[in-house]
Amino acid sequence: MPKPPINQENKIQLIQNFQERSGLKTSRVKFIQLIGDLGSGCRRLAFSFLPAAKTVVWISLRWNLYAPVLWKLAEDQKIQLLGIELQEKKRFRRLCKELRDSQVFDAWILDGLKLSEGEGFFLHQLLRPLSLKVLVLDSKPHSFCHERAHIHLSHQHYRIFWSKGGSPTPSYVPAVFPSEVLCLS
Amino acid sequence: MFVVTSEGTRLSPQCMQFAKKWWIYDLTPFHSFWKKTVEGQQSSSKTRNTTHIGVDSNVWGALLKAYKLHLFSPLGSIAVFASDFHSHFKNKISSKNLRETLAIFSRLGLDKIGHLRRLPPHQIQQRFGKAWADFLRGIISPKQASWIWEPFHSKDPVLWSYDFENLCVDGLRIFEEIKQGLEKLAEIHPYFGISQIQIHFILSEVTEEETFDFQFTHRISLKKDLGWILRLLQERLTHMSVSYPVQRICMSLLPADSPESIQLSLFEDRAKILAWKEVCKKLENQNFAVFQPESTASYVPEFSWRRSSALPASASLNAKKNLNFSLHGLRRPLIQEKQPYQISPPEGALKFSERLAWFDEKGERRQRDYFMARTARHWVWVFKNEKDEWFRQGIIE
Repeated sequence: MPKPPINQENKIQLIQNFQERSGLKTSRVKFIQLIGDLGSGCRRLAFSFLPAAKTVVWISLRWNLYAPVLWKLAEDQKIQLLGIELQEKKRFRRLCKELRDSQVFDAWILDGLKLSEGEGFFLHQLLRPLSLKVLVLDSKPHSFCHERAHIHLSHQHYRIFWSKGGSPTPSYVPAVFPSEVLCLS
Repeated sequence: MFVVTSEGTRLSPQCMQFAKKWWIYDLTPFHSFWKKTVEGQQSSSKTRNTTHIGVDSNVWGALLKAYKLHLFSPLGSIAVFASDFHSHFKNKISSKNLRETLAIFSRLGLDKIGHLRRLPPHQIQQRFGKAWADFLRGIISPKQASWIWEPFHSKDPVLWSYDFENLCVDGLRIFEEIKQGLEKLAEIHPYFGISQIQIHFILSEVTEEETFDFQFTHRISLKKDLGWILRLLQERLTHMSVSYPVQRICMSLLPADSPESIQLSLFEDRAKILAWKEVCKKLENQNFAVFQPESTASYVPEFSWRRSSALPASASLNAKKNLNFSLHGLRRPLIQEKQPYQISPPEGALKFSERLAWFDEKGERRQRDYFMARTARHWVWVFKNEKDEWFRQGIIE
């Protein structure tokens, strides 16, 4: 049977079919990446990217955060936070499966896990039926994230600009804590 | 109506064991026929004097009868009951304290149990403490005193075994048999909670057994968590190597304590609270470092908090209620190293943030002056100790 000619309408239909088959369209999980060095404000502003979340899990490869401050930030946003230090990267997928099965958390924060592309697509496959947000704090840009924001500390403000998705114009959030030290310069 | 007997028979689920020798039965919901039968037994036991049995409308009354105590009994005779009561409810009352208290009663001229009514209840609590006050209130006025009811739960394991027709060395087949066995057990005992799974492999040609033991730190539901249990067993059994063919598998599931009842809020989602608790327990079981912070008495940043269990102390998911730390150190930088490391003295402007001074275990004075300093890339949090050495503690964010 001869194949129908690929005109513009057929092309769109084919793309839509492919997206539905591969789960790209049906996925309700949203991946947001925050890029910034230590001290840039990525971690302090992380919860502001999860306005609707009530229960969040913070997974870190090496825990170097001062927990009382972090939990206070979560409390201010009325977020119930759980911390997990993942000592072995090879157990990442198992941990994700357990967290997925529990369906307790509205959002996951993956802090400095240095995810590979394979792990990113594994997360896509794993979380496809769920409606949750995954915040990836990493220095290297990942293509599997739907949105990517860069954060810098500049002139007593955190400057946020998006290189993928998000707002086309940068936004500024006043930096509360560093403002005390920036008056020195 | 309550019955106290020294013979344990599991006639009723409304049962409590006291001091490891008495069984207390709550017969309140039972038909009067059974109550009369029990009272008949009591009268016959009085005549035969074979078993101790106490029947009364309240637990205290029944226990007093079982211990053969009444208001005219000598006060010294309460020693055994008091000792049992305090040891059962884990009151910190030593035998010396018991003897001394009875000696005080004797000095006060209280010879009979009924004489204790002369003492005002609030004075008993002030003088002898709450444990004694609770006990003496129960003896003096059994009808008014409260009793802590701790239901008895059976600890019988659930057993299952399977004999292979032909000797088996295949780990996968062994797992399949165990899987089928567990599925059957889950149907029979849907509400069974497991604390430990023991699997014995009886091998041919040798008398020794190979044993696999799975211990859980929390209650695992046989039916609800069956998939998870099977995953766990599969991981272990597929890598199993037995020295001889397996002839028979014996599995015993040891029961866990009944789940703690938790006070729930009307305005919170029960399922979510229980799921949070469950996932924390599961992750802890698999050695994931799951935690929430808990503040310590120390103000030194690296010791000012410690990791505590993420299981909620109360049922509430409200973040504010569950936070275990007080509000000190909240003006500190977010990123901090586990241990500070020594650096060369910082150059440029410094902004003082806080001073900590304390005495260590050896009694030596320690001091830290914290400053915020600028490096090439970011603002850092540094301190100078009492020896004028500089350390880097964290990064300001």
